[in-house]
Amino acid sequence: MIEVESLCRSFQDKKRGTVHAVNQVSFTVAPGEIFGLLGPNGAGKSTCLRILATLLSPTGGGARINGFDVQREPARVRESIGFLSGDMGLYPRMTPRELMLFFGRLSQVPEPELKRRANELIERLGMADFADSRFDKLSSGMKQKAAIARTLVHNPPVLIFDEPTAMLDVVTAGIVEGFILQAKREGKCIIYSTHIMEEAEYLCDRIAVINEGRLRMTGTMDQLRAATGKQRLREIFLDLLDRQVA
Amino acid sequence: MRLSLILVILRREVIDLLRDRRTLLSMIVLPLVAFPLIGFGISKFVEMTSKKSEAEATTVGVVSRASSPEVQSAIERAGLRPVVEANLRQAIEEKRVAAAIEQNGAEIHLLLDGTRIASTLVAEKLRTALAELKDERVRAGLTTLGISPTVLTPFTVKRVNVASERKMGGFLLGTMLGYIVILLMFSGGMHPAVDMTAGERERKTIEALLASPASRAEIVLAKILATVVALYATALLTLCSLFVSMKSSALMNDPKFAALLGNIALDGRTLALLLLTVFPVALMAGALMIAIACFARSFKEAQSYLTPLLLLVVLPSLLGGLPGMELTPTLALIPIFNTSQLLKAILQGEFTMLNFTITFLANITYAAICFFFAVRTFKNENVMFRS
Repeated sequence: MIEVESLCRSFQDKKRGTVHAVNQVSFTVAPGEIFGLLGPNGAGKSTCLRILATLLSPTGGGARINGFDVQREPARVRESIGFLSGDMGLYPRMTPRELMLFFGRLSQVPEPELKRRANELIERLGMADFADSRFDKLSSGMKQKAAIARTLVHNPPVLIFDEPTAMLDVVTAGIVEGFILQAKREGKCIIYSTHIMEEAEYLCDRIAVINEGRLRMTGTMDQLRAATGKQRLREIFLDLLDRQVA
Repeated sequence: MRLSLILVILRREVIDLLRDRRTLLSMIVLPLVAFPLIGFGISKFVEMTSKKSEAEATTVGVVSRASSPEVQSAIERAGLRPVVEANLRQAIEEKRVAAAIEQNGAEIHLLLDGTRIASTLVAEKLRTALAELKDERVRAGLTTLGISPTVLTPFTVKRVNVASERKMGGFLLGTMLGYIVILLMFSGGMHPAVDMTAGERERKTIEALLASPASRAEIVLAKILATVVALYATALLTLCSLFVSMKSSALMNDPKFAALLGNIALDGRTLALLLLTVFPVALMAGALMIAIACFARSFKEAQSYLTPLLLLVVLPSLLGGLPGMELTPTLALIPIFNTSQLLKAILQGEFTMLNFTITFLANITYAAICFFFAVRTFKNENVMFRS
């Protein structure tokens, strides 16, 4: 369960003065739900997700992940999440198996269970051929499968995905999408940021459009259609941005 | 702080270091290969130069009409071969003779080429031979006059070096060792520190690590310890390589050099003391390097931040090796300088427990300050997430 209440994050910029990267953002995400955070570059998506992953502190408001406060119980929050960004975050001189074991140990998963789970993920994701090859010898698709496995190895109830398909081709992006849907079926609570409209429309149960740090609208596709009178998410998105300009 | 998580990160970082060719080069290959190669190179060069000089340094040019039989005989007694030449200066320039003497009545000119070792060597032999000849003549003259030759030497002056051979050897080795060990140690830790901070940021792996259950303090401590492993391994290998190559080097063929180094105790106690002295410096350097490298946005930027640090440590370590510099309780508070001085004192067998303790505690204190600085830097979102 993710509960975000009036979340704010501002910083000082020499040229722009005070910049509100995230401004009074509130939403909730239930278990078994995929919540899409949609916005143009620089809208505040990554800052919002970094606060939820306890990488950044909020300057106002708050958030709870799996019942734990991001500011007061950051360690418990990190134990509850799997965080994946488009950059993947893979060590070139490690192998996928070593990466899974490393992050599993950081989550203090008991060793026999960790090895069993790593083997299970290797099988499920079709990684057997390259599980013991170094990342600097793997293709983008192989790397992204390993990154997903790293995110899931400690079986977290909450998954935070920050543009996980941004750098990928259609085939590899499809693998990631399939896995996210599978995680949803397993009851994971998923927050997903993207600026790829088709992906958001296909994956997300509810979508929030964010721009300049503020949530412009939140709802299911049907709710967004009813509110804007548009059919496709691309049109809805542009309409919401136009309204803001007007 | 959870030790188990620190060890998990430390293990990963150390394995990663051992898989990195650049780290292996600066941490293992350089210390192990550099000294034997340098020692071998120097000894070969010295051997070649001295052989060449000795071969050249056997001929002396003389002018037949001017040199007396006594002078000719003195030249031969010095193991040199007189060669009659018409133009002595030209003969030296064309290397037909190493040096020459030109006798003009009571005045003898010693001609040499000061830029050539062979010429200088022969000139020195000639000067000694001619000085002996002069003394012989003076003694003979005094005897003829009925005066004892001892009037010329009412007393003699003899220089006695009271420093023990170990002290002299320790001074020689310690002067080099303090500087080289500290410099190589810092350069050995530089690449790992950069790789574990700016490198992680450049490879975008830092966010995944920070989003793991490990706290920032646990992560940075593990990274500092991994850097310390690299620093300490470099220091250990440097020390061992330096000791072994000094002892077994062809330089040992020089009996004076061998006598000096031969008396330095290469026992476990000396090595343990040297390693104990270097330990807090490795801690301090590891923490400082990690803290500084955290500010960099890229690998190159981090390298440019850390290079001045190498220059900063060279000066005090060089100063510590200068003759006349001695470790006092006050000077033992100066980082790096205190270490190079203490290393020298340990090798000389002359360190005091007071100076050792002050140096150790001072460096541990600086290491703690650097550690807190590194943790603060690592926790600073403006530093870690600046773009």
